[in-house]
Amino acid sequence: MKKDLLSLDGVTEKVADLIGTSRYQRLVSSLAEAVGSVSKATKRGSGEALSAMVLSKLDSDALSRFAKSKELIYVSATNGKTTTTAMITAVLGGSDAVITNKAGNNMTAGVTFALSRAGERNLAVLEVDESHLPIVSKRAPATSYVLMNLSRDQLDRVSEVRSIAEKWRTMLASNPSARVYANVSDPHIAYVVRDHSDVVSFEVGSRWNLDATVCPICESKVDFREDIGDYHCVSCDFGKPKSSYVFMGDELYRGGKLVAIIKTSLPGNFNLMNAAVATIVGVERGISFEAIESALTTLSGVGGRYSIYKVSGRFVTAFMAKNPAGWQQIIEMLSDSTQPLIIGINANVADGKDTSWLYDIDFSPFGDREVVVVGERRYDIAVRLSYGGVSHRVVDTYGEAINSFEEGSEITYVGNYTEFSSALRYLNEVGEEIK
Amino acid sequence: MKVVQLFPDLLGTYGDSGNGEILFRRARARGVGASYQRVFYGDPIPRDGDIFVLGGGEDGPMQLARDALHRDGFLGDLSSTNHQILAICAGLQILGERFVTSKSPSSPGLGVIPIVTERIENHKRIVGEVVVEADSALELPILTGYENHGGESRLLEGVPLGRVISGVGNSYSSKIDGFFNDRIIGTYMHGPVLARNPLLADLIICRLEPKGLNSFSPLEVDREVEQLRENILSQRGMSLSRRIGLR
Repeated sequence: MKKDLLSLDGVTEKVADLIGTSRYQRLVSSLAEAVGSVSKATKRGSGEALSAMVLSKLDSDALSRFAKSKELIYVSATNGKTTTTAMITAVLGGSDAVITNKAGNNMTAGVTFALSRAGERNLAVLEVDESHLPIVSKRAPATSYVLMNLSRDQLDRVSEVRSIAEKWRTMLASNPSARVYANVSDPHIAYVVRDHSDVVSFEVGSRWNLDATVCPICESKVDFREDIGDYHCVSCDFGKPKSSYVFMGDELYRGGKLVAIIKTSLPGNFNLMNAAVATIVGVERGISFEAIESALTTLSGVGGRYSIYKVSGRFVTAFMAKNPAGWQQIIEMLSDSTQPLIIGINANVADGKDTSWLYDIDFSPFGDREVVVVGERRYDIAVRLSYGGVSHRVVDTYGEAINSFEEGSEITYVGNYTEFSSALRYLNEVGEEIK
Repeated sequence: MKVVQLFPDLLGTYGDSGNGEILFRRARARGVGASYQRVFYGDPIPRDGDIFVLGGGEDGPMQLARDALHRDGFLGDLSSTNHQILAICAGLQILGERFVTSKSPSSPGLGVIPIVTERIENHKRIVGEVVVEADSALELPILTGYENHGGESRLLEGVPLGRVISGVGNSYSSKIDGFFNDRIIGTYMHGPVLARNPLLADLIICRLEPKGLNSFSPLEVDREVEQLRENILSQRGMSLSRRIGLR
């Protein structure tokens, strides 16, 4: 074959001419679809993440274009954003009425892809990664933000907690008319919304405050009164602001008056808190408590979380906990049972390459049950548990882990980010989802 | 033997509070009567502590910790006491002559360690695995840790904890990590460093216990630590002979 037949001379120029035209946009959309289908057909994944990537890489205007004239609600937090997004989506009419992104596809590409599939729907409830929120928001400013908590997560990869809080503040300053639903139980969130005007503030107590002991304004010490859920800076005037809603136990108060008892079909106190947040957003949008309750009590597994899988005669429920604050919630949830436990730990890029955060968690409440550890970094968690006085077994595979418990056992699995994903793949392949 | 973890609410955000727990557990497992106390910011620093452990932290917290230690005065005067100090990262920096924060290029330290820390020029923040060959006087196997700091430290005098085999350590140009003398061990290694390097924990305990290092037998947990070290060091391409960290 002659060389000049293969020459690409002129092609780049032609493509450059095309960029930005509607024809180019259609081409990119088709390409994204095609790549996604290939990925799905070759069982590399659902294909959506790859489609989303192609779409947002090749068409940088796609996000702002697809977002145009839509009502956007962004949900962000270190912990609980996936579940709370699912809950708010359910409360506001479910995915038939609401555009939403799949668990984890929460950066620019994932948000763009979800919006590209809007169809006739105009309202979007989107989970956005906390460090990407300002980036997404710059291209497609939200109508409302739901800001829940900020704690340490993958310190080697993402900037530190206070610098994210600072970026969120700047983001809100450039979007002054946005409505913000803010959990002011978290001092970082209180700081973020301090100068914003349209704020629906609420308190859904967060137990984890080791990441917020320093005043975000003057860097002095913040004192916590955990018994009454209050905090204030010892030097300046920063402290917990007054809030419109307070959630205690399972009771939601507005202006000091009990307005609802929160219920949800998902387990754990932390999901009750997430449900309270979804309730507040629903009520503020004029949805009745009855409708909200019905949505929140019929919700089942969210991206595989909380589902029960039957595997060789044993029953496994999977939870993700990827940082000390998340673990704290899981430990609280499991405190009233002695169910056997599988802990899985990886240290890939998405998990944070460093496992030292395991020492910021008090695992001693697990001393009363059978514990098995798995994952690429199973010896890191094994050593941690040994020093915490928790006896355990180390195994190489999920099969070994599950079969090491008696038949009929109800087993809880808790893993960090990529380890949780591979456990879910295993459970879906080998097990049967029964609930 | 009383192990005191200083200000885990300020200096301990990288799992470094585990070091205190590990010293306590290992001492107890060897039959040494040990106790463990976490001293939070604002609490008095106990005068009867034997081992004081300081962890890493962010700019604001490390200055608060420095101020509190300065007001207290106790750790600043090592000559009159017989305690051991383990200081990691920000803990190491505030014990030095001066250190750097986002707000101040030169903030005075406690002057216990002859080290100065300055802002990193022309290089990225130092983040990643670090492998260190400890000073031969310490008779320790290869040390490993996870470093994550935005300052470069220069030793003015004295001996570093070890030579950096891979990673960065105190500074890009020096190829050394930390500092040690007969009272202090300072390092940039998180992990926590004592979880990954149990013989360093035993060394600190032995400095207070006349029995000596060799009378300490390996613990149950050490088989798991060996696997952990094997994982980490084989990834770093270390030869098997260097990986064998435990007796």
